[in-house]
Amino acid sequence: MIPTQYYLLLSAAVFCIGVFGVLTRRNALIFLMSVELILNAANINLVAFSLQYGNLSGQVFSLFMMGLAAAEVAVGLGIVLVLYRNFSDVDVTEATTMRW
Amino acid sequence: MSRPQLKTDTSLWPGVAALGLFGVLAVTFLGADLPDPAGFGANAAMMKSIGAAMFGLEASALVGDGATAVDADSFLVVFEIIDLVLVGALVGAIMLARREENGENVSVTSTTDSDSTAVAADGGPGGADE
Repeated sequence: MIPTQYYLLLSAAVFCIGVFGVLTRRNALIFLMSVELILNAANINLVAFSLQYGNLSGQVFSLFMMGLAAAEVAVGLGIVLVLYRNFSDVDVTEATTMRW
Repeated sequence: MSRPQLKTDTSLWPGVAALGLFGVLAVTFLGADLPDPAGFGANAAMMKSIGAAMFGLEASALVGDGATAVDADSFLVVFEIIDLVLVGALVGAIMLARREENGENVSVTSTTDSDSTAVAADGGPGGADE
């Protein structure tokens, strides 16, 4: 059986790719995809520790996380639509009118 | 030249930060002393156990002979909360994506305010051919 540490390593890699995307990308859609990567890294952890302890709670919890991620993407895409309508662009650094 | 090129005029610090974070996490995880995974056993009824956990049922009552139920907490309340959150997100997304002109919804098929520029798909009345 694969040791849990390697699942954690995979999760850390996916998480860091997501963090890299959030820090460097300016396109709102790729921003959303990066947040999705971060969420899925957390899912890998939940499933890995579910196997580690022989308890299914982690797997059920990751299913709910997927549902929550779907809700987040629905709202996120709505915001991207409004962003495009108001700024004719999906660049997140363009939308500065709500700054104070 | 049109081939993709590496963008070098931006700051490299976000990339270095992400790589550094991965380095720290990798060293921590690979150095962690965890026991061997307990696993679920060869005869574990995973799907039935997950279903039972989602609806707050007793897993052993669903699983037939020859298979073993796996422990999990009850997630019935969470299931209901996620249901409400999904409905809220759906309504919120529609509210955000809705387009209004003069307080009225603009539907995909409506031609308010844009009759003069409308182009029929078949090039008929209002089409580019005329």
